[in-house]
Amino acid sequence: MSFVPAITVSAIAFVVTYFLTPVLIKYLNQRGMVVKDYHKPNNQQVPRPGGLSIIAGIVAAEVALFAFTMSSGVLAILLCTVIAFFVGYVDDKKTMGGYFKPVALVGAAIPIILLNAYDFHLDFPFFGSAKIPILYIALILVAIPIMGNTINSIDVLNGIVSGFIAIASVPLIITLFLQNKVDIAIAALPLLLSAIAFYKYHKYPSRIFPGDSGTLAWGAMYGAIAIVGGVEVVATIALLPAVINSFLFLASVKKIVEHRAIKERPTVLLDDYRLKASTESSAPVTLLRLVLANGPMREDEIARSIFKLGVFSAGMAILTAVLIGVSI
Amino acid sequence: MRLGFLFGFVIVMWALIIFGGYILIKVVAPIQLESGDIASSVLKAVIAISMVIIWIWILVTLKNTYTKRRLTKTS
Repeated sequence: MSFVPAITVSAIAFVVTYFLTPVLIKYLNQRGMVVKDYHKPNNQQVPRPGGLSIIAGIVAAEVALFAFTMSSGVLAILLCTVIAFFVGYVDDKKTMGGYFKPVALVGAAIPIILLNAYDFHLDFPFFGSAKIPILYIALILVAIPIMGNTINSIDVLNGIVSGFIAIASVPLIITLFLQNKVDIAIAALPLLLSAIAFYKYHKYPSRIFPGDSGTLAWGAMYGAIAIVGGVEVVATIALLPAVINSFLFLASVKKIVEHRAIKERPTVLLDDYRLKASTESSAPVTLLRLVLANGPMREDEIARSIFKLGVFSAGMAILTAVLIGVSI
Repeated sequence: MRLGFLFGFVIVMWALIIFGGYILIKVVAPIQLESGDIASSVLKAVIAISMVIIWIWILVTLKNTYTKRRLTKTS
């Protein structure tokens, strides 16, 4: 019974993003909306932001799903994603300070609260669930900015964020289907399908960058699905490589600051365009720097390493879902 | 193994999340002091914040040990 909406929603998200992205690449190039790809020779310029084709695919799919279901959960996910997209779009157009995104993304969490699209139980493996009615509202307001910025912070090299979000969304979708939360599981499919469609153009060598509008939309949508679907712990575990990246960076610089504002870079670009980890003690520690700890790598090799970590975490997330009580 | 440390880091974080769940559900949630709900809530909040601090300390120690060993100039 859920087969038709699932296929329809997936097809809409994929087709819209897949076919709109080349049009957007052409449009952005014509308008000179390009940024330098620092890891490529010959001063290569790449169009940005690609968030427009990502959000178009997601919105078209979620509106269709809402028409099928009239679910407040689906509406909350849609509104949260759209608000996060606009926050990112403002940052794409006009570079804002380090605090802008975390503070503005609190607004993206509001629809989830206003539409009462959450359950204040946190499910853990082995031990049952914790009931935290008042604290949970505060957690929603914090979680969406954290998820948005966590995904945003892993957008470091060609193809990484789109590939990683596709990998991380799989355990979320599997868990939701297994827990019989079908509407929300289907609402999560556009996250996976828009990421796969965009990856075609974002993978090494990138023909387009998603920009903050794309990464914040994906991150906030991921957080909204986790909250509305009640799979917060599983979602966090699937996202651990990105969480580690944010944690390492914050633990190094000890303040909320944009990566571009950091003077000492965590990596060094070699003459052959491979990257190596910085050995400066003042350079921030990031996931990328740790991946490069054993020697220089090409950009596509780094992406594959981060995807391996993503697949490992996705496996741990599915294991956690099983331990919570889901049977595969 | 090139990514060995990072796989280990993921496993440590996973274990901390599971152990945190145990403390939260089995230890913190049932706390009920005779002196009233407010005192109980304050104690629960203090335990939760302490857990977060210990959690961060473990991860920072892990990060610093590895970073000093593998990423910092020895000369």
